[in-house]
Amino acid sequence: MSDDNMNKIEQALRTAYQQSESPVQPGEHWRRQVMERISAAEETVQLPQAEPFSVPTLFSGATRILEVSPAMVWGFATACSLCAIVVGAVAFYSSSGMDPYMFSMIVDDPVFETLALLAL
Amino acid sequence: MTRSAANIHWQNEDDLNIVQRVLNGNRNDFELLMTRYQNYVFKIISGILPNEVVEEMAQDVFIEVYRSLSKFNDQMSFKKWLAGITVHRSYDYWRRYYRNREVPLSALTPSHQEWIDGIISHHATEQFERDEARQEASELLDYALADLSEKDRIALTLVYLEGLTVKEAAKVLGWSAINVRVRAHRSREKMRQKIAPLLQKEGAHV
Repeated sequence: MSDDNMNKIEQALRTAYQQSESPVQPGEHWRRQVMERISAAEETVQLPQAEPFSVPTLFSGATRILEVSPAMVWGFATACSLCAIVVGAVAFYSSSGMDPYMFSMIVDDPVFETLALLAL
Repeated sequence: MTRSAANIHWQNEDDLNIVQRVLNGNRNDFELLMTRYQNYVFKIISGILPNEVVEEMAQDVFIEVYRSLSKFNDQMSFKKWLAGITVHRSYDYWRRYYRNREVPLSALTPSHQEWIDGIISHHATEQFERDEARQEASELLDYALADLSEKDRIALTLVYLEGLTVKEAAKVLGWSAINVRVRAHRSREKMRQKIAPLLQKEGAHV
């Protein structure tokens, strides 16, 4: 076997593939079916995405609010981490004059009560 | 404008213009794209899937194309973009329903060997003029691709058979260019290894 013969076969297979025709031919009925499916399902063409952080973008997901994408998960995790850091820093700097009872109350309380206390 | 003049007008119209009109809300203009490329899509699907599912798959392809039109841009031709979606979707279907229907060596007949002998003997032109020869070539291609995974077949079909560049195939498939390049190269080597024993029998029947 030579590379030359292999190249010939490969080229012939490629040509045969490109020159082939489908034994099944599309007709008017088939085309109408596709258009009907498009219309019946009220398929809508996806419009180009608006600029990030623009008002349309912020509200565009309102109808798909239950869909969770990896980007949303990571965004939520980042926001939670930042909140924890802020709350931790505030608690640390404001705890110098705090008595042990107050400190344990902040640590034990649910997050919302702790935030309410800090706000006071 | 007369009807025939209108026909000539849209036949020469750029795909991108038609796509833009569909995106602007002229849904019916999508039929122009279908009319233009339906035979091409049917041909690709017929090479991958059995005849009985070709029409259904072609419908699914055009529905997906319609839904994804906004993602199309002029960085590649509409035809290549369409080929990418068609090949990807067809092999996805093939993997689910036809993966285990491989073509054994015994399925090849003396006529396939004659086809190979004819190609090697510089009778390629005559070979392609025979309908049976086209069928034999198609079956040989099926045989050569039989051991490849779905993704390897996709890469090989798009890059070596449909003629997309590695970059274009990567863009259509959402894969990295390296991934497409490696898969296309590896699957081509596997295809050649599968065909090699048939060449060694050159002049003899299978």
